[in-house]
Amino acid sequence: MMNQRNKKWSVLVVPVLLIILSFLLPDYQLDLIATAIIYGLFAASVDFSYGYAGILNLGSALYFGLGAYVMAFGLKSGGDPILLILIGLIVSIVISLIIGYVGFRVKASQVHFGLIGLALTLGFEQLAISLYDLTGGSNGISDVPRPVFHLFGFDLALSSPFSYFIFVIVIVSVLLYVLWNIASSGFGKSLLAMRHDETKLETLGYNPMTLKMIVTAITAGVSALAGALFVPISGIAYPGLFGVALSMSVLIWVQLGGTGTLVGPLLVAVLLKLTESSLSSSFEQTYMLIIGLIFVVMVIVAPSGVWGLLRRFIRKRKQGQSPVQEGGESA
Amino acid sequence: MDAIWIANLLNILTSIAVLAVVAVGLYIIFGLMQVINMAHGDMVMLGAYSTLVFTQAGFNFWTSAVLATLIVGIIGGLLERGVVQFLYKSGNLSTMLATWGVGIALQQTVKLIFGPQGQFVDAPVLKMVNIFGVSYPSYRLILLVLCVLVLTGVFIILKKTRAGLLVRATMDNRVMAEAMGINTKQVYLYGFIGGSALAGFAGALISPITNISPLMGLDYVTKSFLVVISGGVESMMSTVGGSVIIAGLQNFLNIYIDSTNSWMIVLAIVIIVIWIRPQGVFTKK
Amino acid sequence: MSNNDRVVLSTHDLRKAFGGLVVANGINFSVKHHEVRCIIGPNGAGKTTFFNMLSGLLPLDSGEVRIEDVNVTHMPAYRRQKLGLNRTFQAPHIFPEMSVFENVLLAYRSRFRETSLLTKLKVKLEEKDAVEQALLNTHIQQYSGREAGSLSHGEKKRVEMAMGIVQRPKVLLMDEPTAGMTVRETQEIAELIKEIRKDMAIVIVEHDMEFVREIADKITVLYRGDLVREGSLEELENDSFIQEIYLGSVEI
Repeated sequence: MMNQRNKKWSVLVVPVLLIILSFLLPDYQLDLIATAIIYGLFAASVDFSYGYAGILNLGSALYFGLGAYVMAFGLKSGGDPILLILIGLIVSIVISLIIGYVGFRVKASQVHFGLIGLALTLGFEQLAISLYDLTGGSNGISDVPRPVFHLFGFDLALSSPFSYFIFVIVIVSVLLYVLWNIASSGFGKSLLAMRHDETKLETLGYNPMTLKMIVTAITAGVSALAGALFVPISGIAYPGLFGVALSMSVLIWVQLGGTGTLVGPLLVAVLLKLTESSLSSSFEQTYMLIIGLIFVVMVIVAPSGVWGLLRRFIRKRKQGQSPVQEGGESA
Repeated sequence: MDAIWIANLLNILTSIAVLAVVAVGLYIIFGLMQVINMAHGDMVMLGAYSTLVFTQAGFNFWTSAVLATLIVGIIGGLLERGVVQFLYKSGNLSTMLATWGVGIALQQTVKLIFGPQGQFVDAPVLKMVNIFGVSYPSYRLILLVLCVLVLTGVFIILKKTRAGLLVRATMDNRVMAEAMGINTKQVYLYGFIGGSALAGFAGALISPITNISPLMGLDYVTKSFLVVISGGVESMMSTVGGSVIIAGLQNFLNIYIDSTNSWMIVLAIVIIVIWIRPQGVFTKK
Repeated sequence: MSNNDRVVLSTHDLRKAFGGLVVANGINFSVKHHEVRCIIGPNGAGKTTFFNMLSGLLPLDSGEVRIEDVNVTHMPAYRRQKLGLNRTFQAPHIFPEMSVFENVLLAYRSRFRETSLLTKLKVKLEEKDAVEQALLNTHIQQYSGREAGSLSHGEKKRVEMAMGIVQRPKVLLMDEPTAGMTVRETQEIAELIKEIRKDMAIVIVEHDMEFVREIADKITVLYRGDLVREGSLEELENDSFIQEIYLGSVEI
């Protein structure tokens, strides 16, 4: 219980620290950190699907891209940012529900469902390229301005990196807190149960289809929000946001961070993105090469992620102190 | 028939044949081991670059192509021994991510050595040949014939030889195959070598007619997976059928609309196909 | 019609074949309220398949399944549960990463499709007591906080039973509840069944004939997909056909 409360507190402590830190950092670094954190949110949302409900989607970038494109198009044509975020959110959720309805109904393997997602996101990438008038074709929508929120008669301009940074921190913290609460609720338990034994859960009276649809919708929504948050900093939405590379990267963050932990994938995403952006572009290829190799080694050495590795290490130490056998008598 | 149509038809057939060779390679790996080998496309890329290196070193194109195929086969074997074999128990996602990591490493290595820009290999034969009154590049025709021959060869090996029997038995039921005394570990290794060699072979053959670049494999790996999924993994022929759907349809549509739109339509059709027949179009079940 | 004569679960001309292998050849079966019914038959008689069809995990070729008066033939498993059906599996199906309490709570929570806020609240307030009662009934209260995966085979089976009875189904299907259990555990399960039959009908696939003798009101014999006999144990023991089926078999 104590541990749980501590965790809940840390959700507050980290953003406060970040906000304090934001007073000390130059603008461009604030943008870098905010971008990394947004990718972190994206990773956490994908972990919610994969880590808890075991839904493998090889095309998660679809929702991130949708959120980003809606935001970019809307901001550029002077739309209200709140409305845009909502539109991106709703579009993503609706699409995810259609995909879910189609994909989960099919008695297909996890791999099949994953590949349907891949085909879809590739399709949207092509769509983004071909709808030149709306999306700017393969160049994407660039020079997107930062948003001005109209709330209760006040105009809240988030035109400086500093104000937008704080906005991102607040939104991400809230979303993460919500995700984390859902995951540790009774609903989260039923997801874990489903991942373990769908048949039994169904005989207990749970409809697996409903559970999966809800999870997919939540992931789609949060991913779309991350995409929407991303655009004002980058100033651009481009077809690559729908690409295979981002979809694979996010799965790697999830796997390395440890599935079903939410925070783990977020941290890994933030770390990797920060390292990537702080390196000079001439070193980028070597960096990518090293990252590729690290993935390979990590997947082999630590199949349950850095988190799992750490946990295993701690457990081993504990076991060394008190020789309590766990799970010894199970058949 | 119109002259332009014959050329179109030959182009469509060529692209189907090339994709089928790559996809059959993936079919062996995916069907045999359930491994989602995301580095499969990079085997195509390596095949093309190896051919480039050998031709530049003064080897004749055909010798280079054979050497490239062998080298990529060996690289595939190394990939299985060095990475994939540790992950059979860890599940789909692990192998997929690890091979994706290998893919990134391969792409970046190639990029560091050769640079990101496109490269070209000269075609071994530049003559045009006259078919039904249409002048067609003879290299493309040779390519088509070679692909068909290789596919036939693989089909015969899988169907008629003892090695093929071992592979099919392991694909069907690994545990049973092991109980019957088949060394499935070895079958997996050879499966990976064979599958990768096919991709390398395709890469070598397309090197004179395509832009060789470090990221060229991405397109092939995604298409091959769509082929295998939409065609089904029941037999090699279902994979060839899948190639007909994907490469055939796309290149057919390319005649009328631009490639972005045609690819989009193909993807939409693939999704519908997976929805209606998740087990694949060309399966009996 | 008195309350005890009410049929809670029935099948009509249930048929199923896997290719050429007929596993259900027109089974007509019915269980009354409060009844304890045992299903016996040699291995491969189609007992577990029959359970799978009753609980909605396996589609029928033809025929009908009813829970009380409702035709559930085309309903998925989760909807049959809502109508009052629950089952356990031969190898215990539990969620090993969760505690025993959480396992049973998960089962309890899907029991209700709450309509009003008030009943919702009531259900919520009672959940702790209800789960603890189920743990008490199945003698696993001392493991409440333990990770379910760390329990022994017999204990896991009892967790699954607790998950069944906490839902207070109208019919509980139990697939070999005593398999792999010690003599003492088997006795405890017999006591448990006698206790819970006050609230529900129970259908049990069982091999242990002593156990069957102790608890069964009536016995159904399945053989190669056919329902060959129904009756009391005494009647069946003197039946030459039954003796023939089991001749040389170690199961009786």
